[in-house]
Amino acid sequence: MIYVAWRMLTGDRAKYLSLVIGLAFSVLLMTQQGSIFTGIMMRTFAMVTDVSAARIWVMDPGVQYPDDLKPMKDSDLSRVRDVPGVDWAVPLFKSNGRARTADGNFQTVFVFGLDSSTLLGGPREFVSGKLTDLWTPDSVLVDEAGARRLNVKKGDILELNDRRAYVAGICKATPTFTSFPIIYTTYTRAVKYVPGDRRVLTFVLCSPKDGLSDAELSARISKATGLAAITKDQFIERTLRYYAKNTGIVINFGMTTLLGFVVGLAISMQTLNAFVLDNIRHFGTLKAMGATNFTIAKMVLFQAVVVGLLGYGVGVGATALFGNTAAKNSPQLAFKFTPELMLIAFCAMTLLVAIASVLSIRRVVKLEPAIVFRGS
Amino acid sequence: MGDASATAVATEPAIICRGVTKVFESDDSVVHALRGIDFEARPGEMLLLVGPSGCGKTTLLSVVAGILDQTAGEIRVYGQDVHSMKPAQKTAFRLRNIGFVFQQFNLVPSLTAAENVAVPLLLRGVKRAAAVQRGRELLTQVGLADKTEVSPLHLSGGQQQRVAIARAMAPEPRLIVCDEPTASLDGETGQHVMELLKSTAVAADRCVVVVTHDSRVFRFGDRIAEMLDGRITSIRNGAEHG
Repeated sequence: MIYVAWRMLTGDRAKYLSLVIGLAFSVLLMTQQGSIFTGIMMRTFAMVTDVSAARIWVMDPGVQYPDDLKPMKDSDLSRVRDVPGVDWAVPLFKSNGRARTADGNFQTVFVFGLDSSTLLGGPREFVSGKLTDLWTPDSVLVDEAGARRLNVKKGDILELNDRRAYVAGICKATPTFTSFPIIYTTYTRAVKYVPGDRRVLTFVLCSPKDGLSDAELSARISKATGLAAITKDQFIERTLRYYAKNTGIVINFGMTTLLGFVVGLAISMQTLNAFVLDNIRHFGTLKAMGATNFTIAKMVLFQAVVVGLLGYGVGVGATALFGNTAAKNSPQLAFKFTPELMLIAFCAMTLLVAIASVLSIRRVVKLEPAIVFRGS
Repeated sequence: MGDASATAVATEPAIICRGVTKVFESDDSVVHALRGIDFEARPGEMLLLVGPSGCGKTTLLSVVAGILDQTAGEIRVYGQDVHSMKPAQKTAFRLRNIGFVFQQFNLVPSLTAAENVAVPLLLRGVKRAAAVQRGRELLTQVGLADKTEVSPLHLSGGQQQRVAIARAMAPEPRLIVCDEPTASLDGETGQHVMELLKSTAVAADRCVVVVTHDSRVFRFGDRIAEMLDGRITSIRNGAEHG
């Protein structure tokens, strides 16, 4: 009877397609909204993921997220290096600067100062130039999106806080939450570009010696220095917690995402339910002829699973296509379609198919086969 | 049907109804659809249940076919007390013993004619290829050899009803119940459908019960039970129909 169920499902091409498209649209709604939400949230800790070499971040205990700049004393770097088990520790400077664009406007930028000798924490992918170009006098690297915004390319001269900066290369970096251009330079140069505070050391990046876990070393550094030493994952978690607690982004965007899910669920349920209603007379006929409720339930479930899987596949594909196309045309779009999101959408679709099937099966099980003897 | 069935058929009535009543109750009304029905139908005959709309014909047919429970009375189909069966047993009984022909044909439009005929066989667990092949054979029997792979949507009303008759016969049931099989057809087509029912569906070991209010087809009945207000008022031979 599965064959009959399949033919009932696909016999009317228009209905079948509208069913699949309806479900695909629901999945698209869920995953597209979810991807944008994920993309935005991932930008809040972009710096932490981009600086992949650092396994442990040391910072002022009051720092709650990467843009929360609370510089430490320069001597804190030495104190961290002195903690037993530290393999290496380098400084990272981060501050806001003001760059003057070619058309005379000013643009706020993030200035990152990397350890001058190792350049640890610097970008890894380049459109032009290379990391070691930072050893050239006055040189800076600008991220790709930022370069477009500042309208600069490799070889141009940039005015950064009224100082001359030579654009030695264009690199790739994950856009930040505020979408400010990112400028990399050496630590010593960055301090000169953004003068002002007596304290300038924003973060210390470090790594444990072999055999020592990140968590163990973090605890040791915290205890020895009184600074916050946390692993990369802990920093990400801390950042997300901050944004969840102190900004409206989670509640606002989360509501939109949730709405996407609810609307998607409603569309799918309605679509599947309407399909069963359309076929109620046929199911009644089958029941009259001797089909058991179990047989009918299998048929309905099969139909729901088929359209569910197809709808999921098409929906997920459409989301990926949307993401790819949109990302190409608009690099500022925060869009991150993760496997986790795909799994969540799959679970949601499974749940939806289960609910819709149960409702439809209930309807069919309760169906009085005597309806088939009614004329119209 | 095998010899054993044929022997059984010869010795017992196909249907026995004794004092069957059916009452439909709702919050604000009580409808006595059947008020003490007594009749018997025999294998090898076509029994027509006739009467005006609302007299209880279809209700009686539903009760006899085991898709509606009577309120009181006894119904035996080939000796089996259908009413006392559990729902699952009743479903299995229908699958094994009863074929259905509906006023609106009730064919699945997305299946071919042969596949529609095969449906009861598929329900009985027959392999698809064998079931569809049997469907083709039955369609040939009802004069639709050239329409086996056609969707019911592309068949005329008369052709659709012939497919439905073939479907009813597919599992070789011992009882075929037909609800107004000619009501959706023009007069001439209706006559052809009844001729087909009479010539192919009625068999020595099979009884056919037809509900109809179409007086033009009364002549096809071996016996005609007239109903009025939930009662059978008379049962006469078809030959007596003037």
